[in-house]
Amino acid sequence: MSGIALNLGIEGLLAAQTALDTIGHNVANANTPGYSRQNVLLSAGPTQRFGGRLVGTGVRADSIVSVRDLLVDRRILTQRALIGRLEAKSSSLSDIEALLGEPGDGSLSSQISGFFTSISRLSANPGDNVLRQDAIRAGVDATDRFRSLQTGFEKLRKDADKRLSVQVKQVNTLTNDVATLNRAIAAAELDGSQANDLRDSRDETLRSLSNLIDVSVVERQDGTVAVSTRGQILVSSTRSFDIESSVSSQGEAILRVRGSDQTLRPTGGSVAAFLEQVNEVLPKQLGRLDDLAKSLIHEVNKAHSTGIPATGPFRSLESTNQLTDVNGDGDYRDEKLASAGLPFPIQDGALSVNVTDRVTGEIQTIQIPIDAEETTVGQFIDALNASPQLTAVIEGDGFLSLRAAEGYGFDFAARSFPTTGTLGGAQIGITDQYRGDTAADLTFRPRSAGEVGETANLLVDVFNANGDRVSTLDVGAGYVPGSELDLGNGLKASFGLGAISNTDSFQLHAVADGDTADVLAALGLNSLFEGTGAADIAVSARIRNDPRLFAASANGADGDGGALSSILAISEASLDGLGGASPVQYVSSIAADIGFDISSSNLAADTEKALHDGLVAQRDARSGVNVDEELVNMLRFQQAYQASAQFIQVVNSLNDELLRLL
Amino acid sequence: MSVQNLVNALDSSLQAEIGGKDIQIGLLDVQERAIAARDVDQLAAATLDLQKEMQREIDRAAKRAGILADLARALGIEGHVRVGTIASALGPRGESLAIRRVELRAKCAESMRKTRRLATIVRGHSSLVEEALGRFLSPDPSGAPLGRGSLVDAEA
Repeated sequence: MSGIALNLGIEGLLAAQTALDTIGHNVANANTPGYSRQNVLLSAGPTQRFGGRLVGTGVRADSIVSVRDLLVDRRILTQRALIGRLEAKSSSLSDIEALLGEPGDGSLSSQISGFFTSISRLSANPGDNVLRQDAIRAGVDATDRFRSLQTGFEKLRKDADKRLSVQVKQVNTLTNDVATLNRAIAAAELDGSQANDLRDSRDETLRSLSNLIDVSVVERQDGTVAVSTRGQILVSSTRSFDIESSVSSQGEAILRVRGSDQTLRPTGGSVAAFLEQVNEVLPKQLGRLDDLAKSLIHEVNKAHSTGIPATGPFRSLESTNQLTDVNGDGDYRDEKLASAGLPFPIQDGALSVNVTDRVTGEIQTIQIPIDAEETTVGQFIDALNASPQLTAVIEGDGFLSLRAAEGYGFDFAARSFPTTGTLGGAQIGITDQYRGDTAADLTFRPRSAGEVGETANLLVDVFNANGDRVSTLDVGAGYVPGSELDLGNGLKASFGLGAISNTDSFQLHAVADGDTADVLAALGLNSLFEGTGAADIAVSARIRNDPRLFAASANGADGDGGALSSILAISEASLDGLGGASPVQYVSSIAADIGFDISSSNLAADTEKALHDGLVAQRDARSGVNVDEELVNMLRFQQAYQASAQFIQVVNSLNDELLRLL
Repeated sequence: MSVQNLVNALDSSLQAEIGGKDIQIGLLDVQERAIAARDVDQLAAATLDLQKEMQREIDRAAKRAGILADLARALGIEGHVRVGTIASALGPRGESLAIRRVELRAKCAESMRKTRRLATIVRGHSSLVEEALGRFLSPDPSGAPLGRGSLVDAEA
């Protein structure tokens, strides 16, 4: 009996000593990151039968175990991956926000606004050389900003690529560390004990890993852990598998686990954020910048290409966009105009080419109909060459060259034609400032016979192509021959002396747009901007070298700023290429979207951090708990969480209702 | 009741609602703190207080709907009546209502941010407890939670 009593005492002392050692170990490691407090698991010793009675043998320290809740630990890893991704995403987006610098001096929106403001000033005085140079300089500033942003985005992409590579290397280092620790833990625990410090180191390594990439961790019987991400193994017991990064032919960053042919697409951790940055966020923002540049080039050039510069009609022009010999037969002529590799679309319509005799001022207008699907480059060139005063050729490198014969010039302005003619025995003249939206064929027909300026009630009706009367002009007694009569939409007609009758007629083709097919903008003929996107947008070198070639006028008249008005209208226009936004609105929306994404990421990261901190607190509070007590607590918590969740829903629905009422 | 009296009543109701939202936001904060501190009693108490506050908000909403309907009739406004519509219809007289509307929208936005945050936290903790309870109460011995390094019964 005494032996048993002594034994009881020794067992108790041994258990207390082990507990004291453990406490000492805990205190020593109190500030070690990731260290889990250890606890002594005291258990009842085996009972011994003595004299027909069961006698306890006291307590003993069965083992020292790390106090950790595997479930909480797993949640913490998930939270860290979430936070890692959100923080990295927010940081990457902040870089884009800083690059855009919106709103602010020198930002793209202010440069584009500046360009349109300078166009507005010039339109008030189109002949002013200083204002013209200002407008060109503002165009240069805006296009420079586009290119610098493009370069900035490319740099951000390269930086993100590098950061992704660095992070992948860190993942590989950490998975290698986990495999090494697995080996050490398995060896140390062969005798059934627990290698707590090694386990803590491995836990800390796993936590660092989960900041970088979302991982699943499964512990095996031998104490090792298997680590996987999106179903692909990174650590299997004592062996790790590196992640390799490469770039696809489309420039997309690709991750693969070594030995696997499956693409790895992590959804958590900073690796996921940088992968998203490289493959989605930056290409998307670059695409939006490119769309804006492309729309601006196209729209401004459509307005400018039909304008006439201060130097008057052109003697020669070279296209800035290259045709492509798509079928590679060495001949551009057989290519369809709309699919000959031009950067901007061509549509069904017509191109007006006005050929001016520089001596007499006489203008001949030819109309070249264009069928977007059918017209070939050859047919287009032949149609231009049909005018004996024009020579159109495609140079060997695919650029179109158009020259006027000596003594002639040409332009593509929306000129109504003919501007002079006869109605019976009377001369008729047309003054053209046509402002109609579409082309119009007008027929002048006298209602009765008589002498212009003499016969009472001598009326001339003007009909449209549908036969509807759109105007009636009184050219009878009281009309002063040569004076202009208003036809509406900016057209005016004047009549000379002479006899007219109801069998006479005069046809006028009123042109609203000199190039309804947009072929000039596609070819880059008489364009203000060169290039095809954000990377190469620039003010035409031709105009930078000779500002007089800025085509401000719509009709060549002194002081006319019709082309400028068309350019100015783009600043407020809803552009299809920009989803219905104006250029400045579009830039603002890019900046606003990024700002919103940053704010959302920050808020989400903040929330996830709060959840993470709560889980960490929960893990730290686990030591020494009584299982029954903990079960009761958990049941109470579950009820409280459910109640709280229900009231959150009520609060939300009341808020929704209130907002609808406000 | 004159239009001005109705405007004053609506203004008071909106002010009361702004105060109510402040209380609501405060209670959401208390809930979050209780979860972080693992204080189930405080969480339950704050939820109960929130329930009472919700009831008060519902009562205020019913009263406000009556005032809005009276104002809409008085001002000849048809269809869905909003405070913004009333404020616009009143012109300069509706200026204070317009200000309250902006204040209340801001409070609603803050409350919604808080609820989104709290919902995430509650969901996270709740799913954890649910899984832990499932493991503890699982009849399958292999589903027992207390593998090595798990919860420890130090008093065994």
